[in-house]
Amino acid sequence: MHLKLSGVHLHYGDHKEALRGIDFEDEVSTLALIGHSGCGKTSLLRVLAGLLVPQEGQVLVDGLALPREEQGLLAYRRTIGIVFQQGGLFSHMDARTNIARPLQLVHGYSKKDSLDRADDLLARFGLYEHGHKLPRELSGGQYQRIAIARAIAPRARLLLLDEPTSALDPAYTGEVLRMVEELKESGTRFIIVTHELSFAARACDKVMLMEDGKIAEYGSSGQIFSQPRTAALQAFLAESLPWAPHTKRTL
Amino acid sequence: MWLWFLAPRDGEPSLFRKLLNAVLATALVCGFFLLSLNRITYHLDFSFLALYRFRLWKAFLMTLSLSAASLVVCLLLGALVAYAYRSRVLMVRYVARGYVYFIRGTPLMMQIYLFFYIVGSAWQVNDRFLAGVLILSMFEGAYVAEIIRGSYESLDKLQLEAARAVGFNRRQTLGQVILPQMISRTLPALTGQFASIIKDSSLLSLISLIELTQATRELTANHFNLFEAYFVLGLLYLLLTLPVTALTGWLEKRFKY
Repeated sequence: MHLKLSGVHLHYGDHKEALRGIDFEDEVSTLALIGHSGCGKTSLLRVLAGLLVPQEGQVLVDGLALPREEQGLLAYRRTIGIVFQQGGLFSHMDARTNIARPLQLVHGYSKKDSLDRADDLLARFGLYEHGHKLPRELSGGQYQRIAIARAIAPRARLLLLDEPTSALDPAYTGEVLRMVEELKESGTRFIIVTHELSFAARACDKVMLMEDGKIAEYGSSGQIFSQPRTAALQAFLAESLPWAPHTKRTL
Repeated sequence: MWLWFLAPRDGEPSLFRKLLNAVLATALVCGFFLLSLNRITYHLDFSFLALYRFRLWKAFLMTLSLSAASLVVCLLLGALVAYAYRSRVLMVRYVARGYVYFIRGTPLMMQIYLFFYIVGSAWQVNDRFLAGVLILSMFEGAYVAEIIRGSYESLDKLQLEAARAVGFNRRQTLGQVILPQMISRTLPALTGQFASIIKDSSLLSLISLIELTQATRELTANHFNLFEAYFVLGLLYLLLTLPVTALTGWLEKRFKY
């Protein structure tokens, strides 16, 4: 999938700028956005998701500019899948309905087809027995895996994940990330905002470090983690992976 | 032995224990009132009921229809006012707020006199039933508006964002997410309100609507069976309010999430 961003600026109300000029162009299949809290990585993901409209600049996905008005954005969002940090499932619907209802209402499935598709996905990821549960009855890991299943259910061309494991107990982080890796193997393209650097190194072809609303460094995950070029990335890795051999950390 | 009167620290008491204590509690309360009657050497006499059953029945139906009509109107009014709270037209917003402050801050009795004798007379609303329904709905609508506003504001904004993310349009978001979640949040508070409508309708006797309270008042003017008359009146109101409470309890379970 070809992504191109030029001069993207985003600010919330009159407050500080979240994105301060993003210029980017590359072919993307699996990308990790990393960086400190408040660096703009979630804002960038939300722009790519069509949930936020940047005040300046342009975003092109496969050569088509993202629309700026809600009606066009709605049509765009229907082609991609979005997973939030937490709370993304509709809390009054059981897991199965959470997956099936958007298929039926948004993607034109018949009721039966939508439920069949939901059951298929639940079974595929070992969640079938939890299909009838309400979101509050699910474990954190099950919750996020069902949120991911809902996001890919309409055969989304791109999956966007906003820190899907940050609110989870470490015990559940593995099962969620394994599901993302499984999806990658079956050809799903995704962009993930994450603090799980080992996951980024293992499962993502490309990694982008953001700092202060800008791209600090971008490259293949091999290069990013073994040969960080910028001081910003070196410092970030030194803080995040103090035990890693390549970081120049003096104790 | 005394354990029979206590609930276990965890779990439900046994059916026997529940029944025993319910019967004893009822006997205690009834006993108190019978003793009170005995102390003023009062002899119960319900014979007037046969004489007045037709009037009481008509009054019962009047209370029922006043409450049912007001229920519908006050829900619509409440929803409208809650929506007006968020209007971008500031004047609409202020009218809505002023309305709610005024209604909630003044007694219903005063509102009935004000609206019926001044506003009603000025605009020739001569049908007492219509006037009664409108006044009662005005009153309850303010409370309903606050309940609806509160439940909308307590909606988790993440749920709305999730609706955008899965591609729901505005109508689908309203029907699939906002309304179902608001219904289950407002039902407990609305129960209390619906029961209030039934009880508050008694004040409409002020404008000579022959509903239950007014009928009872007339009845006791001829017969002096005050205790029996008001006892029956209480039972009749309970007959109306208890099913409302039960129904709402059932709905609450049905929409729980």
